[in-house]
Amino acid sequence: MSEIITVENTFETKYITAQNATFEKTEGGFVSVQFEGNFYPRADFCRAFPLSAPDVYISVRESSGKHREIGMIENLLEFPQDIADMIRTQINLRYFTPKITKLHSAVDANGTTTFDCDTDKGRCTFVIRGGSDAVIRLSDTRIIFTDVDGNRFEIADLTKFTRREQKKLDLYI
Amino acid sequence: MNLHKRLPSDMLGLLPISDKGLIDYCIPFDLGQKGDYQLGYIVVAQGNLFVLQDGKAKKIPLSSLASIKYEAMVGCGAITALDDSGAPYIIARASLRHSERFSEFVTALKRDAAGWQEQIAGRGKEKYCDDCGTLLIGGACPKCRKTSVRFNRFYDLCKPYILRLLLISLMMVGVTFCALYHQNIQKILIDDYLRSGKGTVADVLPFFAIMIIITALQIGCTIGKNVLSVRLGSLMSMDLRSKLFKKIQSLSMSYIGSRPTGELMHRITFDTNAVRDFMERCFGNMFSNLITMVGAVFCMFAINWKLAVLVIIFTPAIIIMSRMFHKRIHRMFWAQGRKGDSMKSRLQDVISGIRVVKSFGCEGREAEKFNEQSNELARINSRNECFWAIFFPIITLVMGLGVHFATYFGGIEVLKDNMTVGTLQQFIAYAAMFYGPMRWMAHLPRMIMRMLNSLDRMYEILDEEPDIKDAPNPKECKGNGEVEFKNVTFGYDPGEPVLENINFTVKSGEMVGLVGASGVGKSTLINLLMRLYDVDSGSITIDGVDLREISNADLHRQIGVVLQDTVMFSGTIGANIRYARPDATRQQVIAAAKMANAHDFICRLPDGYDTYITERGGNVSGGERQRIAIARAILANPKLLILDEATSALDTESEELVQQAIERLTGGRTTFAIAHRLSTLRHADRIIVLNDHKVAEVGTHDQLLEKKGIYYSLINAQSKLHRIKGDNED
Repeated sequence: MSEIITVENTFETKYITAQNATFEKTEGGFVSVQFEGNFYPRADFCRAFPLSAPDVYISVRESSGKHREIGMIENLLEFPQDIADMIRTQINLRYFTPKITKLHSAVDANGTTTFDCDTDKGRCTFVIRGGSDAVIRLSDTRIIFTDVDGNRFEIADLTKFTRREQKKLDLYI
Repeated sequence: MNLHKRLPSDMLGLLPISDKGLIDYCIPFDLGQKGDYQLGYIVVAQGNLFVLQDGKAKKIPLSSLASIKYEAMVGCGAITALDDSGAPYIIARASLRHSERFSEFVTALKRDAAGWQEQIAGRGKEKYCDDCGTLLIGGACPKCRKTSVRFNRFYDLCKPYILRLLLISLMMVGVTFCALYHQNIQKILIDDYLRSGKGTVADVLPFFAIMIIITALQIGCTIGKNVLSVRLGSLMSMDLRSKLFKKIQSLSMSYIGSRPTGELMHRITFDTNAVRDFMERCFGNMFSNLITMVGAVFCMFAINWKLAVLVIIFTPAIIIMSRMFHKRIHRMFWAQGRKGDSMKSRLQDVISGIRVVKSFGCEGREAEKFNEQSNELARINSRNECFWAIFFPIITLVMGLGVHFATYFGGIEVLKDNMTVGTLQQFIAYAAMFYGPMRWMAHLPRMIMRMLNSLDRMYEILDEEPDIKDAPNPKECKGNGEVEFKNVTFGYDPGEPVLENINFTVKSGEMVGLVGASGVGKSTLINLLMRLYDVDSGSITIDGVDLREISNADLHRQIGVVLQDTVMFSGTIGANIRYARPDATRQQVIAAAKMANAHDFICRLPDGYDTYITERGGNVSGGERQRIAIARAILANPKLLILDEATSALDTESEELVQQAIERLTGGRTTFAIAHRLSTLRHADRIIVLNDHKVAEVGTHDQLLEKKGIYYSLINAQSKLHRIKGDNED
């Protein structure tokens, strides 16, 4: 009788740590990885849980060809500061989801709503279409807007907004 | 998309070239080096690419950009290239707002570098207004476009119905006149006969009669107006619907494929309904209310201008209050609707997936989640209804205040003997006539805008030029069905060619199998042959005539198609077989069904050829549907036959029946067959193997096996798979 196949014993994940791999910044602003005797001139860093757990389980992948997985980073917080920063810069390159910090106005017109707000990436305006697809409620206080272009904007904590802002936002979430 | 955006003057200064008129491309982007929002422009001029941002210009020679590409990321995208040492670097990054333009730009650069002559406009549509940055609706800016243009459209829409409109207006004037005059009669009755003490019962009687007649006239006019408005609305929306339907059918697949089916349905059903609704409920009332209000104001001023001013002065305040109230109500009930929707979709999820829920034993958790949503909905519902119950009477009171003021001040006038009781009664009635439609009129602008937006959305489709057009002088397609692909290149999205430089000839009567991994472009090749899309470059000819020179109707008469997922239309089996040739006799239908191995099973059905099948064909099996589709193709008698995975979804027994039918069908016809199960291509005269967007191998089954290339390995992989399947069955 062979052993029952379970998730745990069959799929072994290669974990990349600061000890078993070397990361280096490249001229063009990317990061190269040396791991298990192979050199990858540019690696892409993909979050496995970009919304629920951005810092854990980061898949390090080849940037060309079949985009094969080189290995996984289990927890970025366990990396030395300088390497973690280097990787985080790469992650920020790949992921662009501005966090809304202040809502200036929300104007309804023609079945769309135009938001004017401050984000951690600077001030911007974006338009969402009416209907439920544009707003995802991750939790009671965390919301993601998707605008007409597919850009996403995050409200990390609804309770941090003023009452006035909350009242405005209430209509859309 | 526009790849020649206007460069703002502050950026123009950064551009280090002397003749600023020589700009080849100019596109904006919005992310800076650190990942923050920062506007910049990419400009291509005089053989160089310039990146303008942050008060600086970076120059990159085009000759070093052979490796330029667009990389889609999460929520953003970047144009990257390799430097001299082969290391990748980023040229510019932008949010998704600019991503489509980015990828079209990269494609354009590549086309230029390859020296292609044909200028192919990118398929992307501009989303924002060039001048003010507002989101376009129906391809036009709701802010910049003059409202007069939009009203003109409405006028054009109304023009054919001008007589009806005149009649409706006449009715409206009639209604107003009756309403106003009615009050005058009452005043005379009160002042001259009732209050003066001179009147007798005999005097009152004629008044009674006159008032009845006026009321009857008013009702008659109102009914006429309403009926005419409803008819007009239905006519106009019917007109629009059929125009839209015709247009959508004539538009190319690339247009239809680029939008969700639901959206087009929405245009045909919802937007035309919006116009009908407007004509029925607003258009007629709009003018009659307006005339009534103006008439009432006029009469009030004629009676006592000071009093009239007092009554009218509150109008703006009341309009503002009413709009605020309704905005609030609208928002509250909108939230309620959304909560209701999400509960409904949850319910649908669980009920349609009940087998999964039960098999994993998750009923308890689902019940809990549902309860939560249900409670929330109940809470919002009761809050909203309470608000409505409390504030609606209050707002009604406020709206009525004008009338009460009129009564108060008018009463004083009467006591001072400046006014008769009859005149006061008349005045109060006019005030009520003025205020009555006010609440309704306050929302008029919104209703008009909504209708104009619906019109915009519809005209976006009506104004669309089909990109697959019939040639002005179509050539006739004579011959036996010889097909040639010459240097054909095509991609659905710019920058991502699905087929590259395809060349082959299929002789008349030959059966060709198309083989390759999924996504390699087999179905695309077929789509091109059917001219659902036009090739980006190169040409496809049938009997020496370019597809683009044959009229679409003629082309499709030559082609018969049997697809994997057979499309049946709701109707009888007979009607489905006759689809391409509605005038076929019963005898021909039976002959076709017999050839397709379908006759026997059809006869066994209780209703035979008159069996009603539904759109999804639920009451006949997959193999049976497939044979009906083959009968349809046989009856159409096409020169060219396309089989797209025709047998892949069938079990072995019905596959054999279908295979037999297909062999009869393909006899003597030029046939293109796509199949995953390679055994079905045994009889093909030649097999074309596609790999990496190109033709990789061509030859007969045996030749390709000998060659030990891609086809050989595919066959091997499949026979291994069959062996495993065989083991399981044993």
